[in-house]
Amino acid sequence: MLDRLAGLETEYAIRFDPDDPSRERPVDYRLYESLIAALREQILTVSAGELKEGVFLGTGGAVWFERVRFTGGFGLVEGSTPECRGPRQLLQYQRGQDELLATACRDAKVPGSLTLIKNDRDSHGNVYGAQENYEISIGSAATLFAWRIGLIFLLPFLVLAWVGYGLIWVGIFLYVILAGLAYFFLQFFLPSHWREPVLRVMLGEEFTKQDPSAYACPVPTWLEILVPNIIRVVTGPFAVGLYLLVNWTAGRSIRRRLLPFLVSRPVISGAGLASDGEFRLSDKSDAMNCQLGYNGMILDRPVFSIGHLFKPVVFSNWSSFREYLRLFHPKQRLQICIGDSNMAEEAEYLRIATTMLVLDAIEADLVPPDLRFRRPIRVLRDLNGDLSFQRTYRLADGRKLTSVEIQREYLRLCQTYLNSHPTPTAEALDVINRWEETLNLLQTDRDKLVGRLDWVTKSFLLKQAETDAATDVLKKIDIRYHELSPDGYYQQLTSTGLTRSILTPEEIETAKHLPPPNTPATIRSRYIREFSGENVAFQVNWNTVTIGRGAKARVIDLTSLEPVSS
Amino acid sequence: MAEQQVTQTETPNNTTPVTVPVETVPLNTVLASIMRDSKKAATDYLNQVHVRHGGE
Repeated sequence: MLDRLAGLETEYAIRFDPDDPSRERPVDYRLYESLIAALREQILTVSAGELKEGVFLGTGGAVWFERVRFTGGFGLVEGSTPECRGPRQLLQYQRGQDELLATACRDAKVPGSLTLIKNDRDSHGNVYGAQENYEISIGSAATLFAWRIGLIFLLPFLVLAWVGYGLIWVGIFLYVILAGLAYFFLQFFLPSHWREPVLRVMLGEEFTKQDPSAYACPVPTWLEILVPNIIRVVTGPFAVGLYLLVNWTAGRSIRRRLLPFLVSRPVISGAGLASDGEFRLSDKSDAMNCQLGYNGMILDRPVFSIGHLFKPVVFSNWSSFREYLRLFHPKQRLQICIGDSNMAEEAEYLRIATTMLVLDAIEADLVPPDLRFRRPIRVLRDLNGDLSFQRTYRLADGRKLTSVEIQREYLRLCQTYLNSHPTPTAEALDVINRWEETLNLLQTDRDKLVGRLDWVTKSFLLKQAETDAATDVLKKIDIRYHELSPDGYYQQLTSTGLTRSILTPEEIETAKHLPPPNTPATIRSRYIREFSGENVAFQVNWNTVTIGRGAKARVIDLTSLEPVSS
Repeated sequence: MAEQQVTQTETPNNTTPVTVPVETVPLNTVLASIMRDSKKAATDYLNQVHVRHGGE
């Protein structure tokens, strides 16, 4: 009960206020580098052997630079908690990560003020934010069998993707050599003022920059746009096949029965959004456009992502086959993209704790399959603007329930689950009590939830603004509420005693230095502490630790080892 | 909204909140400070938080 492996991924927007406004703003990537340098002063880090640039921390968690393209150096800082067991532990490591990053920002050597914003949407409408990961069972024996057979049938498409992906890299390598040679001869015939633009188009701005320390895109911009599209084409057959297979088999029953809970969850865990004179429960819900997808690969914003199943299998080079074999395991990661980033500790706790409890009830087969919406994405958007909780939404079984009533239905099922369990844990009972109290207050005395739920607190703050306040002022209240610094509005409210803490300062302090016990992060952390200072090749990722190079390299599979204490 | 002069911290795995008196700043003071700050260079602030390509 409440002991499944879980982890949170949080994308933080980078805010930089320069000391000298006349100077050019450092690009996000340079700010990230400064942040990581400051982070190293606080905690042991090692470079991550993963698909994107980042570091693993001594706690077993990680920090990444999340970018869509190299051009411009734009991006986000992403923090991944270590794998945890239980909602309180997960909250503990999320808060520890927030504090580590906030301190690193404060100490970063940059020409201005660097802060992170823990939210999901900037004032231009760009969406980012949080993902939750929960370990789930694929399904019944028949579902698992169908999943595995499907994976075997997908292997030829996967091989095609590997070959295509490999050829793309060979093609890029050959292009760079040929373009370099071509330019070498071409420069003798080009007018001098043409040389730099031609070189930039052929080989990228890295070769033309005047200041060696300046950020430059390492490849030509056109190539950076072209290559991902070619990759989409060569990996397309496998991507489509995997999508269909997941849609029909792995976790299907869980996703269907979980969806109405997630759709109505913003009444508790929504971060609130000031949008064109309107206030909405969640700052991310309106961006969702499908139930299942690859999360951005084809402009999709799904409730459930399968990108984490696809990317390691296709893009991990020599480890790809090992990642493919991992898909046969009866337990996989369910990635939920619909949640908001929370500032209020209680809202964040309820978001993950109630979800874990509902997953427990679903896996115990206590949630009926007809508890679902016919058009969940439409309900999600309608519900996001429904602050009165009076509007009803029709379920597949014909019942019409309000958003709070849907939450109460799940609460009732979880209570049944606890009652059927011989020894319900104290934490599970606490979650039930908190959940019920919150739903009661939402309907009877919402003001008592100021400081406890983000959307209620943000709405309270926005009401303090003058009635004719400019849109930008309201938007600043919306966004600065999420700033991880003493100037952040939520953080300022903590000094008034209005907010409620769940964790003790000691728990958060522990999460900044030590890994959680009995998870793969415990072992990862142990290897990081043992080998990061040694003069040996050492590579870490989520599933393995590799010590040494080549044929003599020792690969330790973190997922197959017995749990140990930290 | 009445000002509160306490903050609540709960002990691990319990169900009963433990109320711990601490030094607090009056809520009205903090709200006034937040409202003053929100009017200062709001547009500049929003431009400082611009995530050009979004995220996941």
